[in-house]
Amino acid sequence: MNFVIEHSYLIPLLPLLGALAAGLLGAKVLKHNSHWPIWIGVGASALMAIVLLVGMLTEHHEPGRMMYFMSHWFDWIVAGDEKTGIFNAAAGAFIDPLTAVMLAVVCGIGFLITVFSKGYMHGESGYFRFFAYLGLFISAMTILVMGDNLIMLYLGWEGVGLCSYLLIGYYYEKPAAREAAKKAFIVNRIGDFGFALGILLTFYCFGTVSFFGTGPGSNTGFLEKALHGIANPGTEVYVFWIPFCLMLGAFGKSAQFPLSVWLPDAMEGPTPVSALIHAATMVTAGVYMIVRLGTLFVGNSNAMITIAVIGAFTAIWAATIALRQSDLKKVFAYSTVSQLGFMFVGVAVLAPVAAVFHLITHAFFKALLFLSSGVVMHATGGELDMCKMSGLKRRLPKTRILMLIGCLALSGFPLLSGFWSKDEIVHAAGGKSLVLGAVMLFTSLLTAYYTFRLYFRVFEGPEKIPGGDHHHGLSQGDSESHGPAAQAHHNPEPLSMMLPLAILAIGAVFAGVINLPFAAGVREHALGHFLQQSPSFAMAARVATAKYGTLTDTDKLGLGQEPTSHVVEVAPLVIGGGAALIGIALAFVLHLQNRAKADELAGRFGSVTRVLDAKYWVDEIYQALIVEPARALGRLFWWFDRVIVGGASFMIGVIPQIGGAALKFSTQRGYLQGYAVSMLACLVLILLWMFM
Amino acid sequence: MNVTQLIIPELTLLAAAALLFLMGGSNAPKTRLLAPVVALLAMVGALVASLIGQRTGVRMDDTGSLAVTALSVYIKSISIGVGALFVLLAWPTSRDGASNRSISFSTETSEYFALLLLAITGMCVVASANSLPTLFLGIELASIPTYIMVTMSRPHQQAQEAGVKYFFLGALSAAMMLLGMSYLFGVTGEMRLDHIIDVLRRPADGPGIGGSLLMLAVLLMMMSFLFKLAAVPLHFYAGDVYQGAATPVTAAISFIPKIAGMTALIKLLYVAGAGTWALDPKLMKLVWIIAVLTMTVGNVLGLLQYNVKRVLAYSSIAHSGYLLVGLATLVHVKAPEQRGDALAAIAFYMLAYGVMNVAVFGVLMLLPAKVPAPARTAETYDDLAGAGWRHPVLGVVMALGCFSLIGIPATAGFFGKLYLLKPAIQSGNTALVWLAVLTMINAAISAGYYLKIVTAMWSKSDGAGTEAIRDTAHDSAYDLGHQAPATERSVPVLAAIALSAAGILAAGIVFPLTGAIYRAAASATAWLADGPR
Amino acid sequence: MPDVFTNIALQHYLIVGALMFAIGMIGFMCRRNLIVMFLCSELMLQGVAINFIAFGAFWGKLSGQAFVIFILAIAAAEAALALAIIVLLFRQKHTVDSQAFRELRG
Repeated sequence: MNFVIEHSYLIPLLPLLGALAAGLLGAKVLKHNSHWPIWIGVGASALMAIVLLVGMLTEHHEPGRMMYFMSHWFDWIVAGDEKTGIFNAAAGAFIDPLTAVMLAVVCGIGFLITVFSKGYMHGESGYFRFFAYLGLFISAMTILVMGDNLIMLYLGWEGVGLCSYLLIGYYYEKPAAREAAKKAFIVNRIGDFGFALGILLTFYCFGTVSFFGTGPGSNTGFLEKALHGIANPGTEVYVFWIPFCLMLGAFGKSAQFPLSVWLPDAMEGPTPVSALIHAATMVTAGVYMIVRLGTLFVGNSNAMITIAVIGAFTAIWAATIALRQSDLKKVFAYSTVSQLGFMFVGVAVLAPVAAVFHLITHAFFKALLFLSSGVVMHATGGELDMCKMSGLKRRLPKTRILMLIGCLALSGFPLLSGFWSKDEIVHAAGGKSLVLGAVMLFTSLLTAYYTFRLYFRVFEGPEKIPGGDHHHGLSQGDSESHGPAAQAHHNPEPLSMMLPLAILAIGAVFAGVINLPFAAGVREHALGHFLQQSPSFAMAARVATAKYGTLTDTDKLGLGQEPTSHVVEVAPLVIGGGAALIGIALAFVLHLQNRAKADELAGRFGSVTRVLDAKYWVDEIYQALIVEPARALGRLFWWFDRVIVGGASFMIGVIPQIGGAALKFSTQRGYLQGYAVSMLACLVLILLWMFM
Repeated sequence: MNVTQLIIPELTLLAAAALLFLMGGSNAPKTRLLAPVVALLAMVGALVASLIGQRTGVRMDDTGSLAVTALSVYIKSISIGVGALFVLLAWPTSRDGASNRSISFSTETSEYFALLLLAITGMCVVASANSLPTLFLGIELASIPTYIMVTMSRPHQQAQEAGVKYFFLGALSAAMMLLGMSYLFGVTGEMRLDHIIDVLRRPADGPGIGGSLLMLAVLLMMMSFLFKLAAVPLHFYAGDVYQGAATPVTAAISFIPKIAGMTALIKLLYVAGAGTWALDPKLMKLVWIIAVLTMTVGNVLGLLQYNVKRVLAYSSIAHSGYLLVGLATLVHVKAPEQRGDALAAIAFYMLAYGVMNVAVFGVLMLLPAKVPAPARTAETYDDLAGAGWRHPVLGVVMALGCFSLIGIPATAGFFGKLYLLKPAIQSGNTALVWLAVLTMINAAISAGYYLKIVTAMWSKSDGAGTEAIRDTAHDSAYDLGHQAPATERSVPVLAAIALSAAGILAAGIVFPLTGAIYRAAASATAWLADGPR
Repeated sequence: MPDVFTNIALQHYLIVGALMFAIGMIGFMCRRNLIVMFLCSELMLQGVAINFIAFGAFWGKLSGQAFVIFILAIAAAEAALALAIIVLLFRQKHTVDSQAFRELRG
């Protein structure tokens, strides 16, 4: 572990080198072996991340002591002087339990997905490009979670945004992919504007962008300054607004309402990208950011309420849209938006551990679900519309099992990972406000319903396979298409694709054990106990204690304090599991037993159906409220630019030319005498002017 | 102080020039090939001597006709340093040592380099002149050799025509300077500049003929120095002379007289302001007007040209204008710190201009002309058409040089303009703010022709009507034995280009270096800003 | 004897000097023969030389006369140079008319 901490720069560097190798050599030299540099680079990083996590888990732990390691790579940006305040953004890592957990998720799942991608992307024309982007993404994501200051976080943040843009637009020949890439990029700009503003405000108020400065306890980082309320004189009023600015960034990246519109469209990218970036890792960056900077947020109840409201609304809103989506990936995309809403609610109700817990379990089962739908897509020739397929279980037996596991985990089926993590959030939300808890519970029910609607439609029932064997065509304009080379392999479930899925499935089933509410082999709330050693959590807990007095059980941030009673609260577990079972049962009735009944029901609630089908017209509202006014403004500026600025620059071009011609043919005629006369005449003029 | 100690760099150059004149007696090719080596060694020796001779304070000889100050050391060092690049540019490459592709010495290679050394010596004398005769002699020593260099540089009528125009108008300006000097001497009764300052500082007996005669003297001398700068309204010769001379000579005459004239002008205004820059408001206004006119006329005339050397002549006029912007700022501002900033900016710009100029002219020297002729390399836009694709390195250097001349960031020229405009804007003086605005508009206009050079070099076409020209050229007597004109691979010229391109980039990107050069310029000129010594 | 001949003051010298300079300047502008133009420029220099000598005498300083020596030296150098260039040009076009040489223009 010491090696990893000492050489922590290797974690982002190795995938970056891999990306460089794949990007520079891929087109001509490596070709179909372009995955190797990425496998090696990401694999090494994943190994380091696991070693780090295991090392930190086995480290002797004294209660109340924070565990962190700081690694200074090099001085990056240093500006200013003593008078104006020194801006110092060092390139360095801050490694604590939160970082370790995030690194393990990013690199571990990232590695599994790169392995899966080899089989999945086989024969694509931009094979090397895909892997280069993937390596770049992992590199940026590790910087995001390792950075010890806001600028590093921002670097990684923008880096993953760039990779997301590039990968959504991977099939850039397709207009839809181009549009989706642009949409993701532009919507994220809005959030990033807020984030950048938050960084500027932070520096303005605290005079530093470093999380912990020279280390917790030194009072040099802004988190600690916020904890002790040491802001620059006269800036206290701005401290209140910092969380709101940062929140905007988090909502953009994590696709919360109303900045969520880009994520469903982002499914235009290759499926492994959807799994890695738009489900498991990048979109959780917002949650990570708020958890990391919890000290700034926890004390600001307005900010916390805003997050809770936005998160809960997004969760239920996206879940209702998912009810009527027929595209597999779109269902999962809205599901991701909804689950991210769960995480934000978790953060907002002072249960950040539950949020991180859900982040981890969600990473497993959502990656599993996306990759499985990728396999389905392979088998059906790029078809993802669940209305056009049915009963795939005979054609894809292994995938069916994996998908079933994923679906069960997502719907919160008892004892699977999603059950535990979602329940913790629902429980914590209910502890804060019954309405919030009810909303979250209802959303859980919806989640179970739409998940199993999809499962029953696709894998059960009478067999109907679109495209048959000779599928892999380019005809499906709406979703990604595979080149002729992809048609070569007939086994739709090759080992290189199944193995990562199997590992993810194991995770989806058993990831819950890391934070069980009771001791079962591992101690209860193991994740909470582990994260409690993170300075971010410890400081946030102190702020919360100061603000809300003695913490109740649900208020203790989910950290591993000894519970007041050793009785496991069974009621919330039963209620949560019950909701999941009801949802599944409903889906069983409507989408397996009697599919006609479902259509009839949909017809009966025609207006509701239309609203859901139209996704609440959010895109249209955006178009009318933002895009069109922006276009009009753009036209105005275009006109200004063309007529006023263009006219002025035209004048700058033309007037001198006229003057030049006049001078050229009057004063530069080549006569020696003429020059002499001109010179002396000018001299006389000057003398006259001077002496008159 | 013994005069010999003060003029070691000048003596080094003079001795080498004398040696080269002696070598000119030999007609052996070997002697001719040796000449540039001697010249280069002399330059390096003089540069070292000049830098070693750096002391604080003013050192004067016993008669007081020379005063070596930090400014003189700075001017000497940059003129000798850039002068060494001119030696590289004119390096003979033919086997008999009598020519390279862009310049022909016939048999007078040694004499050419001797004259170059003499011109540089003249510049050094101007830099440390402290009396009217030394100033006059310095200016003439910097000028007369350049007349000869222009005339002898090419075996055609163009060069001789350029020479005669340059010489006659130069003689006229020299006469004006002398007339001014005679009146200045007459009014003050002193030849030494520091004594003149003392006289001017004494309370005047009231307005009389002495006042206006003094103004006349200052104006006449100023006009003459402005002629050396090729400033409006004494710029008429520049286009013709720059176009007619061989390219290495053009490079030299766009730098040497300019620096000499600018240095003399600063000294003159320092003296006229009695060492406190307290100038007649009308004179201040005149400097402002001349600065604006010079850059505007230069840039405007540059737009409609076909010959790139002529374009660069007008560019050179415009750059004199930018230097004069610094001078106008210098005479307008009140605070000594801002005066110091303006002086430092002028000194910085001199060096930056010299370096970018070498890069641009060096590229012109290496590219062949479409119509081959002796001592003629690329001169027109046609000659340059598409050259960047054939010689990417030269194309990039040319672009770099042009960007720097425009003042695009990440180049030396950008910082030159930045430093020039900074005190003007900071002063808050309305006239100076307008001056800064006009400078920026001028930079935009100048982009019109600089970018034309760059686009010509990187155009896909091979130049309009090139084939026809090549066909007729094929029949010409000169072209027998020549196929497609090739690029000259002259190591010294390449070295000069590489050095100057590196300088442009380094001063534009390595901010500590830029700052160091600027601080050197500032410390060299600081004493002038403070007023009385 | 009229006063003006016995009592020659500084300004009389200056007027002569200025007249010589002006004549030279006018000749420089009006005459097209290169040799005459050159002689005119010499005339201008000599006018300045008279100024210097007169001022030197006025201030009782020898430096004015010393300057004239330098002017003469420079004038001699210019003469050599001018005649050489004129010879070169004459070889080209067999004329010393300044207007004949305007290949370079615009």
